[in-house]
Amino acid sequence: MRLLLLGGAIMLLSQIVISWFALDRFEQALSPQLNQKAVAVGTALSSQIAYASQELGIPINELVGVNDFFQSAIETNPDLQYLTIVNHDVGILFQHNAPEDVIQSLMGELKQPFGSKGSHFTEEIAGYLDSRFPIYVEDNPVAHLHVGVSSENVRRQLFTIVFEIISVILVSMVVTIEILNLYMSRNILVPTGLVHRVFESGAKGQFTPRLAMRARNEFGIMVSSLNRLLYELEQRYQDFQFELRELRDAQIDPRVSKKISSIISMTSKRFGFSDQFSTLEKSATQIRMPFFLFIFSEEMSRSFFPLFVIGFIPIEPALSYELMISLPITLFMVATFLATLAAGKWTYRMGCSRLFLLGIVFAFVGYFGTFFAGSYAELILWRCLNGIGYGLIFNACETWIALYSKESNRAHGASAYVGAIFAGYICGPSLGGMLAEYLGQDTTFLISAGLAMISGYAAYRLLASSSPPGKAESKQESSSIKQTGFQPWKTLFTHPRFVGLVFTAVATRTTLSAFLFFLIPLYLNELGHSTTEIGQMMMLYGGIIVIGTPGISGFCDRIKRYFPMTFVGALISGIGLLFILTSGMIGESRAVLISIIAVGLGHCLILSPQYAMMQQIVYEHREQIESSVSISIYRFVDRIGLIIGPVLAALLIQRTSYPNSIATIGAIVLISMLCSVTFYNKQRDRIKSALKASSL
Amino acid sequence: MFFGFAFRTSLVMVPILVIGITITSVLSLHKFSQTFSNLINSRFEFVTGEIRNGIQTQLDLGLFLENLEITQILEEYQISDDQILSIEVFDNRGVVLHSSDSSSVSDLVPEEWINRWRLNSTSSSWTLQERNAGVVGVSIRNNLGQDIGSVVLRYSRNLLDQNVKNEAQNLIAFNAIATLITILVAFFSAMFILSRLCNEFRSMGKIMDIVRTNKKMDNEDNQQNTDIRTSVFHEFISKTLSTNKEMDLTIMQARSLDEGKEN
Repeated sequence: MRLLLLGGAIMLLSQIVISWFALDRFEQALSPQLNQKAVAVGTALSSQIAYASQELGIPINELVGVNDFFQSAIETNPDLQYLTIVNHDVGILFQHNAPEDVIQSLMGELKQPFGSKGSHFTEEIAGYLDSRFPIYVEDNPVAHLHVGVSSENVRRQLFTIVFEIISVILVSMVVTIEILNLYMSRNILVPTGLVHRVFESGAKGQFTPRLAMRARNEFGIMVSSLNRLLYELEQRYQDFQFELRELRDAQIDPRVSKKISSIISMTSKRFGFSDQFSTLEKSATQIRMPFFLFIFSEEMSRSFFPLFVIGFIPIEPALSYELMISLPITLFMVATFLATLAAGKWTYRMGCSRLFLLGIVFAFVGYFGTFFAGSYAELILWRCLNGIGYGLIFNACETWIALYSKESNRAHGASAYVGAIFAGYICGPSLGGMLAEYLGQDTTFLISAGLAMISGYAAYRLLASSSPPGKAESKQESSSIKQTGFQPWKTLFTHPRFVGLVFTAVATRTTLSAFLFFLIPLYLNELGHSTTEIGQMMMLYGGIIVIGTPGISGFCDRIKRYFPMTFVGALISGIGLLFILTSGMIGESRAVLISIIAVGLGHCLILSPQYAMMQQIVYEHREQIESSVSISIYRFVDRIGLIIGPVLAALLIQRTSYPNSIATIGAIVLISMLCSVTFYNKQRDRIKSALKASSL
Repeated sequence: MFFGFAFRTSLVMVPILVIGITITSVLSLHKFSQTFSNLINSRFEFVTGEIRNGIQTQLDLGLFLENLEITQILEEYQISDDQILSIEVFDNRGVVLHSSDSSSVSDLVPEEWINRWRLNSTSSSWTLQERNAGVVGVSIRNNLGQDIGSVVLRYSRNLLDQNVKNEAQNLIAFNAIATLITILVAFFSAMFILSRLCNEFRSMGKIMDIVRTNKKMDNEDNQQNTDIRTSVFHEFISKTLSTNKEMDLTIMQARSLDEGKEN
């Protein structure tokens, strides 16, 4: 763990130093470009004013509506600060938005020399980058046009880059830590954890577990010593038992024979040896790396997919342009939705690792086909295959975590799943967008196909030899008959805790799709934020989830109170959404930012405990319902939130403002939470009355 | 055991750190390129906007788009900025009506331009990056509010590419040094941490070998071994020793019973 922290800390430090240097260099390179626009505007406006004065014969000081003209120029070019026309004799003729100290400075330096026609001169005046352009009428210079760019604006532009660089560091850190985590888990954390468990069992007198490991290093040698010691101890015990039996069998005196027999039975109970060596089971977190790689591959096209679709839309589309763009995305979701429903049975028959690999095959064919797609119909077909792969893999992962999580660390297991998703969400769009720009959008799908293959290989190596849940369970519970058809639905929906969980899950998903994916981009765009700024604000949500989830899950596993955590999470998320109503007081952008952070924090508290609770329910019903079937039902219902979210948001913004729409979603979250609490309490009452009845 | 556990594990950190630093460098450069490109686009959006305003003024006077006499204006704009490659005006079928390069008049513009223009008809402008040129376009509206065409400006990417190349060279030089220092620090720190862990493994192995071969060991020696900080190991060894001892005692007890020394 210290090694992981060390790796992370050194990486972060080096990233900060490198980024600091890059930022300094970029500042120097970008500053001249920032002034170029002022020059373009000044050149155009000075020639228009000269035209008005010369061609229409109006003296420059008698031109009408110049201030309004300047006002509209500044409104359409918000990166400019002021526009003024200064005459050598009269002073300032026209101006818009010029600060008092700039006016003072210009008045103090009226006799500036005129440059040649079409020239310009830039200098800093009262903290502004001022470019002046001579206005010539009939080859005589009559005035200067001053165009001012605020140094603050330059700094604001550069500040945007600081955010860009922070997001770069975040992406890079996530990728590095994921790789480092995989290596450390596979080579250090998991083996030392296993050795630790062997020591723990030994300390309790259980000497049966062994470690199958071949490594020619200090750790491997220590493991060999451990196995040899355990083997010797086992041999010694067998000899000991043999000698005792010999002594007993050789006895003529039945009293002594009986006494030795009792010693034999006592020692069998006292010493933890058995004829069978126990095997050390797989861990829930093993799925993290393959799953992260898959999400990464899928998210690569997130930032440019709508633009990619545009290239396939025929000149005369059958539907509106917007609908044609959204159709492949919608059908992808539908394919995912249907695959999730079917995946329950398939997981039962094939096992998680095989289902994961099947999902990878679908995804790989989908990406590869998208690369070669020649028409809009083909694109839809390949994206639907991707959607099927997506649905299958999600189900395989959730079933894996449900099967291999222990009662003691369900939230930790779930955090591997949630963490992998959000790590992929953070890295995929950034790297995908960059690759699309340099290699082409279609080539990025080819890279996604390659990543999907690597993910499949990692799954094959890490998850292989897992028996299908059906087989694994049937060994243990061959007597139990599992429910089929609609029976599992009925059973689950009569379980109040499951219904309560569904309320929280659907509300969480609705918030995600309605607030974060739909309303935030539109609202921030309306507020005048660039797509980069919108992306950065949205990335904040993913960042909070990735950083916060592991800690929260560990805490949940320690306190074993999953429901109160989801309650607090929903409360923060709901109140955070209602906080948007204060935008009049604190500013709209700031209110949105606070809402995003609150939703991120809320979901950080909700997600892992929610999956842990789901796994508990799956475990409780394992006698009646296949785990994979329970998971697919939960996943199916849960996805409804994703689908209704955008529809709900669209209906809301048709009727009311953005802040009110967001606040309504906040109110829905809080109401859902109250419903969830009601059902949770109903379950508690049911357990209490059952306990009372049994005690009577 | 020079190439032991600590060395190999520390060595693995090297490519991982290099990957991290490479991603940061490449993404930083990409962001720089994007920002630079945005600044250039913003400038040319203004230029195309100015041309569009002039065209719309003439349309308001009742002239048709194809009949305007704007070639000279387009040429003047092109000459005024050496980054501008061409300025074209195309209609809603994608046919070039006016251009600063007269040879392209009546040609069809690329399909992607038309798609991008149609999709962004409500926005103030649209941009596109081609292999050698950047493209900035604005929509032309007649006085009925209909989109009837677009003004498109193509600019050379040379300035952008040259700046990105310069920054890349600077970053490579600096980052190479930073990477080297990072690798050395990470490698030796990891070696330090892992060598302690390896010592612990070695001591554990030694103790277990002693316990295995001698079946006896002073429990105090086990507890006092400062190399081993894993308390559960001490408990494990204690339990192993006590199990051995118990087996010895039990067998002695059984033998005593057998020999009739004990009743």
